[in-house]
Amino acid sequence: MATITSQGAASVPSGGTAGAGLEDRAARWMALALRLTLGLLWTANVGWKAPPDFGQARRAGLYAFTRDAIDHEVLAPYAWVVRHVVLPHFTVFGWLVLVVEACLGAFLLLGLATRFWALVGVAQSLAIALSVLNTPGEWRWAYYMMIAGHLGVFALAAGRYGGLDGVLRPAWARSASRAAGLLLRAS
Amino acid sequence: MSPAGVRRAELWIGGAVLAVGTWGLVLARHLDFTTTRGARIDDSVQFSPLGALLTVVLAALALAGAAAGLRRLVLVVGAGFGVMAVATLLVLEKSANVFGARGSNVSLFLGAAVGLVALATAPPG
Repeated sequence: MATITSQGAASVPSGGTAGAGLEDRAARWMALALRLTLGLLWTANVGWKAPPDFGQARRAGLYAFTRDAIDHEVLAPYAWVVRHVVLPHFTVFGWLVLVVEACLGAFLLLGLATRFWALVGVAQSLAIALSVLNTPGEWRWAYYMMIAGHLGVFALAAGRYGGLDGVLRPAWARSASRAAGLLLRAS
Repeated sequence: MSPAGVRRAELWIGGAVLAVGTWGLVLARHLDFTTTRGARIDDSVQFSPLGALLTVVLAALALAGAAAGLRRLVLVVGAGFGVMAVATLLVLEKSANVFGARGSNVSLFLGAAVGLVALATAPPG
């Protein structure tokens, strides 16, 4: 059975066979594929977050999806936050979503500080799910899979396979700087 | 971290962005040079001919810098992509959006910028 070491490299227990080695390669490639898929997902979907009003005037786009948290409530406290905090400051919220999702796409594609951005992806996926899970026509398993996918990227430390984390972690480990320490933990 | 690993990563980033820019240039070849509604690649990034051309030029410079081991050039190109990311963000949905871009382009340019700068400023192994 393949395991992931503290260095992030997939390995097999002693006594592993040549077949298990192939399994290791498959695990690395799948970790890379999962990370890139989620990076492309965010890169594609940040595209329809359109400033300056993010759909507020036409009651479409990001505004409509955010409003679903109230119109098709999933969780009462979340709906309260959307009604009393998010919607009154919707333009600021829209810009925040645009920047966070652009960063998610960029950093997951790069594989840089991947574990940190995977957790941000979990939080963002959860926020989306809490907005639209009960909206007619939505396929709720899509949001469960998004959350699970980001948890997978976090658990596998997927930036260490074909990502910049794998290239830069040795330098961060040697460095005594605070930033390097943070990046080491975030990767 | 090996210098070869850094160089390989720089080549990957430069090559990937060059491929995307070239694809955009092909798709946008019949559009106005500075159209605000660029040609879209598979529901993701979109380019005017100007936006695609700038992307291709910067990516080609990144590749040249990586191939020649010129870290300063890679750093400058990374900064150039950073400027493109911020500029794109500021002009989205405005008449000044001469790159013909959308939010997805911010991801692309930001990724290229952060990646190239991180690699170019990494301490040598």
